[in-house]
Amino acid sequence: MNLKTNMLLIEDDKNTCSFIITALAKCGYHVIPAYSGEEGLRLAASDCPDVILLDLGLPDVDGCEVLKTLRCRNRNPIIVISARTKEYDKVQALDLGADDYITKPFSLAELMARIRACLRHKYACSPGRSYHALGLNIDLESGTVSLNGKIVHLTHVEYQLLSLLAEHSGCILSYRHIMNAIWGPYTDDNNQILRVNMANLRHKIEQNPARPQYLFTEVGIGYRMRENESTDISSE
Amino acid sequence: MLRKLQNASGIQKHLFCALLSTLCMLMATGITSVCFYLFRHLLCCTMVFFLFVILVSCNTFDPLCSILCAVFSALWLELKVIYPSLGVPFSLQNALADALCAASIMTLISLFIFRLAKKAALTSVTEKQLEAAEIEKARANLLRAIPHDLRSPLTGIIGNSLTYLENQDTLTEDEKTEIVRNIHESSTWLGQMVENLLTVTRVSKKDLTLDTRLEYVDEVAAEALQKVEKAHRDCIIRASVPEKPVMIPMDPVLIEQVIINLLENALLHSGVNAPIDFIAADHPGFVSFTVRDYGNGIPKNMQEHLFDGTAHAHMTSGENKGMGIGLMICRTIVTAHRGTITGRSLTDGAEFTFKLPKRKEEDHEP
Repeated sequence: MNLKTNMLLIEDDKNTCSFIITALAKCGYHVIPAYSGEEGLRLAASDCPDVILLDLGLPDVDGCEVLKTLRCRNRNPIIVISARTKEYDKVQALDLGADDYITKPFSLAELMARIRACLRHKYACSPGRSYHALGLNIDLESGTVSLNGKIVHLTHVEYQLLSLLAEHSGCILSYRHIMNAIWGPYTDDNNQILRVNMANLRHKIEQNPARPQYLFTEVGIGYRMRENESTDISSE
Repeated sequence: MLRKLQNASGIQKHLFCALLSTLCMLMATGITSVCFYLFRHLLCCTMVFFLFVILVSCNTFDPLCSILCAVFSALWLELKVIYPSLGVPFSLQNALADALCAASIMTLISLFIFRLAKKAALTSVTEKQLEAAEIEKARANLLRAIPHDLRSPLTGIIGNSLTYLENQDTLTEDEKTEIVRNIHESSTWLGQMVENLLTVTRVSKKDLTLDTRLEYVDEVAAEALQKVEKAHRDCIIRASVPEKPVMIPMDPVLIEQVIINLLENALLHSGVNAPIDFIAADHPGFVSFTVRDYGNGIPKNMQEHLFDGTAHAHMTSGENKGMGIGLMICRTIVTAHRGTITGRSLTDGAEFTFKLPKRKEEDHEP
């Protein structure tokens, strides 16, 4: 983003805050720190930031409570920062309305990728775009998928999955979100059908499923697709 | 039946046993009487009766119940069935003597069977205790290895950062970059150690509960590889997974930790720029995961002690830091999944393989 995007960082560890603020300032983002949940909620209400970075491990109030409150107010992107092994917390955060998450310790490149993906999703045009990354091309209007020039034959469900992930490229989609979007909101917790379809899709699209280039699995949480490099949407 | 009894409370257990014994004995008495009326053969009926006694004793775990029931049944049979049928005039002395004989034999059988059952239960308890002792031993080894493995990277970080702060004006740009790179490497290594320790606290619980669910081999492998490549930017890992998607029961966080540990070991202990192979292969009944490096191989004096956490005591050079903890944790995790892990030194490097069964309860053959 060339315009100064305003960001709010709700994080109690001062060292982490200073590292993030310094790094993001270099990329043209204006970051306001908040060191507690209450301060964060106050600043979110008064400053209306474009993106909020929220640490789940806050000292005064539960990160998820802050998330719920923030989500009630508006639909601006919220990226949640969490410790590495708390898989359940991440799923819960995504289900409560977080747009993405990043785990500590993270690199600047990762954070930038998450922020870009969230902002792109926020300002994206209506569906009807195309997806292009490395050798994969998806024409979302006609429904054709080609990989390195060759057409890929997918089942109806596999195509739906791929186009859903492409529309949210760069963002994490939880199992629940995908199940609701494709199989409807009344499915039970068994996501086996999703896992099987994704496994088949992965083996059709990825040359080496152990080294995915397009479809990334976050085990226990959901799936993420490589960022769209197509030039017909506004990006930096 | 056994488990139900073991789970029930004391009084419930006794009531249940008593009821069961009584019912069985009634049935036994009934069948024996019928047999006797039909066949008129005392010995064969006695055998049938004893068979029932054995069956009851095996299943009720309460000798008192079975003995009492057996005694009453014997008396009843004696008085009501056998004596009248044989047409011998009733003599209390004889009847009591017979009943006493039968009762003693049945007591002996019951007690014997009860003792056998108790021994079997004891063996399984001992086995569980042995398992727990093994885990405690692994933990103790780990706690001994920790200070050694954590102090090295910490010393590096503290030393390097202090050098930078004190000599900022006199250091060259290259030297500064080198110092910061060292700090980065040491802290990344420390991060890995912390992950390993957190993993161990999860696995070392008494009942070894893992968060096991069906996971795809390629998904878990891909995540592990991504994490390693993030930490070591210029490493070359050649990875391959089975052609068809394979799902096995596993705790994905822990198995990822095993793969990461093996890859990190290979990267650090083999040689700087040699490529590393990671191969996951599908076999009937299990999936194997192999990490192969083309470096210096495993020193002879460490080959016997790869997984028992005493590797650092046998190290001759300081290069093999951290190898001990990582492999020990790998073995703990793999064993908890009922798998096996092996490591061997080859002429041009080292190879570590672990195998995980496809079914939860299966004890597979390596």
